[in-house]
Amino acid sequence: MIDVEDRLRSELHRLVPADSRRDWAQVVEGAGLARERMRRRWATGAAMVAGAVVLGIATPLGAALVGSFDDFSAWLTGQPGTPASESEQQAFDAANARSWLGFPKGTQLRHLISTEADDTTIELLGFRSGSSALCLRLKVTGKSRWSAQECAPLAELRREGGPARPVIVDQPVGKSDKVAWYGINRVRASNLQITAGIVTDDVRSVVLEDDAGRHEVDTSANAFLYVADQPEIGQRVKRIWARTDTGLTSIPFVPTPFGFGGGSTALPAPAAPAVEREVKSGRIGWLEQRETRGDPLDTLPKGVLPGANITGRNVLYGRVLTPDADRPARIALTLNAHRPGGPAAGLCPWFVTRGGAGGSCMPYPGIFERTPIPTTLFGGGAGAFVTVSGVASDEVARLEALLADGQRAEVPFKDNAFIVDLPRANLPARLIAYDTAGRVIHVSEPYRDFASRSGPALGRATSLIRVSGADGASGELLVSPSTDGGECMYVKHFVDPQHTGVGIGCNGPRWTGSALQLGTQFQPPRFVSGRVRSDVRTVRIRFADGSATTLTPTRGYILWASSEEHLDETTGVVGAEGLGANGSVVARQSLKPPK
Amino acid sequence: MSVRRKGATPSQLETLYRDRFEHFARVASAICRDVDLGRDAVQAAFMTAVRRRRDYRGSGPIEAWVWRIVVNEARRLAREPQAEAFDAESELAGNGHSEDPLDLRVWIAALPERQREALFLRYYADLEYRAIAEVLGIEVGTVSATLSAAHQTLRKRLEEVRR
Repeated sequence: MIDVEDRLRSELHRLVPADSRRDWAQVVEGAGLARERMRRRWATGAAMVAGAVVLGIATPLGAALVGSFDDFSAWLTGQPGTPASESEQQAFDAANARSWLGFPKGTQLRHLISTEADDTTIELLGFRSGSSALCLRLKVTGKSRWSAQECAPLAELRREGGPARPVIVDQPVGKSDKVAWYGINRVRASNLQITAGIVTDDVRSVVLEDDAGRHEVDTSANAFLYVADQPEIGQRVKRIWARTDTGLTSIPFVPTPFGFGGGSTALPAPAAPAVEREVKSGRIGWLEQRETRGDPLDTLPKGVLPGANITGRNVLYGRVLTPDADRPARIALTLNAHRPGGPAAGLCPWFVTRGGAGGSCMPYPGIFERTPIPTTLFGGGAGAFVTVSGVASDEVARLEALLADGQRAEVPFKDNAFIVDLPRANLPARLIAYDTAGRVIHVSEPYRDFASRSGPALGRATSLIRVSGADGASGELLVSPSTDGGECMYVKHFVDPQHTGVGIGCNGPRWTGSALQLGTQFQPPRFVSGRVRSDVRTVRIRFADGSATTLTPTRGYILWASSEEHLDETTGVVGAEGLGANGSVVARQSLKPPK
Repeated sequence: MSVRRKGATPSQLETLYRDRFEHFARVASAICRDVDLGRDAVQAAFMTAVRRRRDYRGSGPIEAWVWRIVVNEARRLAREPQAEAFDAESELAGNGHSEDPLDLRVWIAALPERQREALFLRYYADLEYRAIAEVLGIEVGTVSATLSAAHQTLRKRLEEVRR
């Protein structure tokens, strides 16, 4: 027997780190105690009116200084709105100082607009983050509460000009009673949906069209704020216009995605410029030589990379890099071995923000044989931008973004790492890599928005196949209608609480591609799943030792879970064959892991 | 029987907040399985407590009343869909192993919700059985049985690891 209480106490304390981020001022403010005290002191409702007064009298300071009427100069060089309240600024400064990933010191918060809906106060604040970004901050208090922040790169605002630019789009706040199923997702509508952005001096109002109709909101402090009260499920702002003295101007805009489907531009990808020098390999010299670039890995707070032990024993060397000093985002880059003490085999870039981290490992230096700029796309929420981040080999000296409309933008790039925001309304976009001589050495495939053409349609998914495998592993395959008249497939798998997930794929009504479209989970594969064309009557899964097993598809789908005997590399899954009615092979697919 | 409404004062709540913040944050983080969410839960819970301070009836310790609000807020946040944590099944990065050598996190995650919450309140908040009962709205005997069941499961695991 062991003393489970003492052991548990010590282990539990190790699992969840102590958090000493006290902020009573935030509690007081969020609870409305300060306002309550003020109301009591003055015995009037004056404080309630203050927000409306601010909205009415706020004047763009920058406008007076710059006086330009067709660009965002008020935002680029001035300070729209009024200074945020002292307590608001202090709370921002304190939170910023607490965060390991703060905005530049001295960032000044500006109060732009406030409004009320559904017993909730919505405040829009804004600030410039150094010289690289403009950020809008939503602060929602009352019945619903929320705070959100989205930024737009200043370079993009300079390039695009006015008259209006949405920055926060359909940000959901609170939950309403309206619910519906879309595939395996039970979707609940929000209480409020908030859209906000910036405008040039000459814009008097902004017109937004969503599923509930058209809505015109006044501008103030070079900004606009639209709150949809009790929106329907999936309600989205679809179009935006800016009203000036000369009439309405349509604003380039794409709706935010709903689930896995939704809006994306119909623009064609920009034509790729010619590659002037072929690059077939590459390395990151300073990482191999363990130079001290950026910051050490222990700069990252514990737990910032959930589920990924990048500071674990297989990391040979790593640093935390800052491609854009004005931006609260980092790239943690590590060189990993397959096993403790092994040679460098993996390059693992992690895009780290205050909200979390995302990334994966790639074979090193093999990845640079495929591309000198392996990248990852992030975004897809209420932001009007998607973020492309990645690393580049030493061959790359400079990076440029090529947008759908042909415009080009410099990509912040330092220590082989880069991060760039691309406007969703100007996708697809490409990245162009140049060498030190200014020659084009790589043009990326077009980056498209997260929204795919096909997503789960209204209706709950039905279960088709359930399987169980070794060590209590289990899987389930479900299907539901897709938005384009086809079907979505969901493969849920569970091995243990650390190794579980769901894969989703939607396809149109017409079959395209190979007759066998299978995938695997884990390596060696614990699950094989996917869809097969109607002429495939049976699927034969082949193993490394030469044996095989045969499955009959259910409505064109298969799901197979490995037993203990096939969890070894010498006996694991290596491929599959689709057999027709007469037993002949219709299609073959290799299921070996990529080298 | 009429219940006299006593109410809590902001200064009482502030003192509790300053003295016990780390305990609240730890329990909330454990329930939410996220340190930042846990902190958000504590902040939101205290905002609620301040707003509803007049609802505190004074029939039990003020701390137990606040604990109930914190646990409820943490449960609510834990249920809310969060930005999806990136889960790269990378052989290189994760090696399929938990950072926790005992896999205790996994085992605790697999416990029923009430057992998990009782454990957190016992070991992170150092609450007595009676206080845990008040917070979770169950009988003291049920707390004892709940913790005993959790101990039994975890003891088995800890002993396995020792072997």
